[in-house]
Amino acid sequence: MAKLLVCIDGSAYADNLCTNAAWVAKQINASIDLLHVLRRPSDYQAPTDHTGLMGFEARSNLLEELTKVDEERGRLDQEKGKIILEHGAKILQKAGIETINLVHRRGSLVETIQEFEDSVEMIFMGKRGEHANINSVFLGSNLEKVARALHKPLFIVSSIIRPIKRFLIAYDGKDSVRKAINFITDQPLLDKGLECHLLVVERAKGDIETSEAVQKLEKVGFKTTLRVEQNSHADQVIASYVVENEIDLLITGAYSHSRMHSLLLGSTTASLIKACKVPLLLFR
Amino acid sequence: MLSLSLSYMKRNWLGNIRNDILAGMVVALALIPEAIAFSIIAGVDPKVGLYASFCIAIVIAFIGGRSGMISAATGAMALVMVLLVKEHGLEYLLAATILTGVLQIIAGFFRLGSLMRFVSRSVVTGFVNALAILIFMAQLPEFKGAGIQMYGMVALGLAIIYIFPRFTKAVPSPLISIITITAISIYFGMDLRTVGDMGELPSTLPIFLLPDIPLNLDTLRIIFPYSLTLMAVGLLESLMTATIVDDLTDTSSNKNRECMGQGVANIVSGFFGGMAGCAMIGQSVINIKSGGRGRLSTLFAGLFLLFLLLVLGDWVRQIPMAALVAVMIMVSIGTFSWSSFGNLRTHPKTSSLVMITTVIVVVITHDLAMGVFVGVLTSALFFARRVSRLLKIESHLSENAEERTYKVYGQVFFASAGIFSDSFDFKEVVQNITIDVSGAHFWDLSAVGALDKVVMKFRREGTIVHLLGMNKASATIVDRLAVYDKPNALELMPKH
Repeated sequence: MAKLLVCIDGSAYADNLCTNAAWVAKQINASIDLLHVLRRPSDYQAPTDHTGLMGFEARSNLLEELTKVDEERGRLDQEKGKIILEHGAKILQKAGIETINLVHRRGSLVETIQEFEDSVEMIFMGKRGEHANINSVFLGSNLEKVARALHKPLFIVSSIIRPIKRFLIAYDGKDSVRKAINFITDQPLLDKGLECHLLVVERAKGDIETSEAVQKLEKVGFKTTLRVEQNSHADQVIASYVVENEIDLLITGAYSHSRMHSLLLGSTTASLIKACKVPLLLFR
Repeated sequence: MLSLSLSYMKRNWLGNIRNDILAGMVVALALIPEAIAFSIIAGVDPKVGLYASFCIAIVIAFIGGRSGMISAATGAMALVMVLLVKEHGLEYLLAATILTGVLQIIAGFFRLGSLMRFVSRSVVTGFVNALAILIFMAQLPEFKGAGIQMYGMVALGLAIIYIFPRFTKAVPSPLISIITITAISIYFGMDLRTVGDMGELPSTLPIFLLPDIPLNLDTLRIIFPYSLTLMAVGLLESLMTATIVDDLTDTSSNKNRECMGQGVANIVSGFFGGMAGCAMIGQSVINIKSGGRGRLSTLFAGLFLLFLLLVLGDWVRQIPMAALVAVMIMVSIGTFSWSSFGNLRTHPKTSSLVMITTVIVVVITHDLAMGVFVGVLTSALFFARRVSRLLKIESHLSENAEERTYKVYGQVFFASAGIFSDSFDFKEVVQNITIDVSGAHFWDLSAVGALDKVVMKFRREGTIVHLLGMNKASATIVDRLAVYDKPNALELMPKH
């Protein structure tokens, strides 16, 4: 049985995250690992004292004091984590998921997800973490890091949640988006018969070959619409296409550029995640 | 690669900007009196220690292995170089500092940092206590021939240091103490020795200079022993401090990178007219206490230190030594592990003995490296003795009284080999002897030799010996080393 990894925190996306994951789990018949990652104690802000005084037993007293602070916060975080996990599990159960595995870990989110990556089919994350404003245009710092580090499909949940009637594949002909097409043609994730939009944004006419992709999608029964545009700002074109055509799910390949490249030019994928209000399925 | 370095930047440099800068300032203020005091201990101008602190702090901020740790001119290192400075002068000290750096880089390259695991907790406590005692003792000459004014000012300085934090924790109390003492002494025109009397203070940025020494073997012969000790002391204190900061912040550090970082920092310090230094336990604790966590705190401590000196040089000159002595007494009190007195009663006697031995050796020789060496040696001996007791030999006679079986359990090595061979009864007359060593471990030549001796002795008495259950590790060492199972066994055996 395939497994989905759902990374949950106290953010506003938590409920949508579970609802989306439950839907996918039922579609492809998967179990769910619900993961909550606690901060490391060293990430806590410690109390400060600028006296510059080295009193008696300066070292052990300081250690004692820092430990006490971390201990209190750690305990609170643990309790909160438990509540978050239980809440998520309740939503999943209500949605009819039977096999739910709660995973409560401590450490860096990216490293923790990497540990689990190999054994799961797909990873779910909210667009932003709990400390970020839901209306903010910035991405959660964790999401960006995870998106770059992972090799499995990443389902990015947004604040919009509705049944998927039509989905859009942003096609650039690269390996990662081919993988995406293979996935949705092979797996029962999206019901064959749904409306599929294939949007190609190329710099010059004929840059990207599409016939193979269209054939593949039509062969399994998706009602495929192809649109080809010439524009150098792929992210803007895709975002407005999503709105105009009431797309419910955006599927795309991710971060095919090197980090250096994206740092200098601005990554299309990162700005897509920012610009589109619908859930996004990212393939590597 | 860049993604790595970006998160690295965030974690090490930019994750804690406000606190790092504030903590760096607190540390810089505390570094000035210490650097001056340690220069005076070493017998050089205050500027040598101050340049060293500046160079080392800045270099370590970038290449050290432990973020948030403060390195500068230290008392431990200053104590080592006293004789070198007295006999050969400053230029030789600078050369020795550079050579120390080279040796530390080599040590880091060969991962000698991992040797730290042989330094037990008791030795670390001994080191720290000895350091505190030496720093305190180094202050005593300041009182020699001084009048009542000196005692009074030191007492007042200490009182301010310890009482002021009760009113506010926003300002470093040692700074307040220094300012107050200086103001009083200037106002009343007291006849107190000042920092300016102790030698030259920095008036410019440090300048790159090659040490003015003959480059020959004689020079090397003079500086090498000092550099070797400096290397050991510097790495020891740095790695101990790194462990302390690891514990305090609940994070980990790269010890070998720290070794190499200390090396580069000392080389830079030597070329810019500074003395050798290392990580500082006290300052690092102050940094963490003030909220410093990142590399920015270390960098800022160095930069702010230099800024203060260049801007306030004329004022620093007028600080009475009494104020510095008060600060250094605070440092020694804060460094000393007072709980080790209480622990004498509760800790194992051997641990206490190791700690006390380390302290005594250091206080007598003024050489922290020697103290640690003796401490490690003592703890190793105690450990060997304790493990040698993990040996038990049982025996029983078969019902027909013709065969005796010895069962050996535990560790057989040099310290327990004697106990091992004494446990067999050679006077008893039996036809067969079985030695079951399946529960034993033979560690070294002495163990193998002892087993050989036992087997040979039984054979010479006409007893047939069976060995049972040599476990693998024992078997390899016995296979390679033992003689009893070789054809010419008896000739190979030393006659007894």
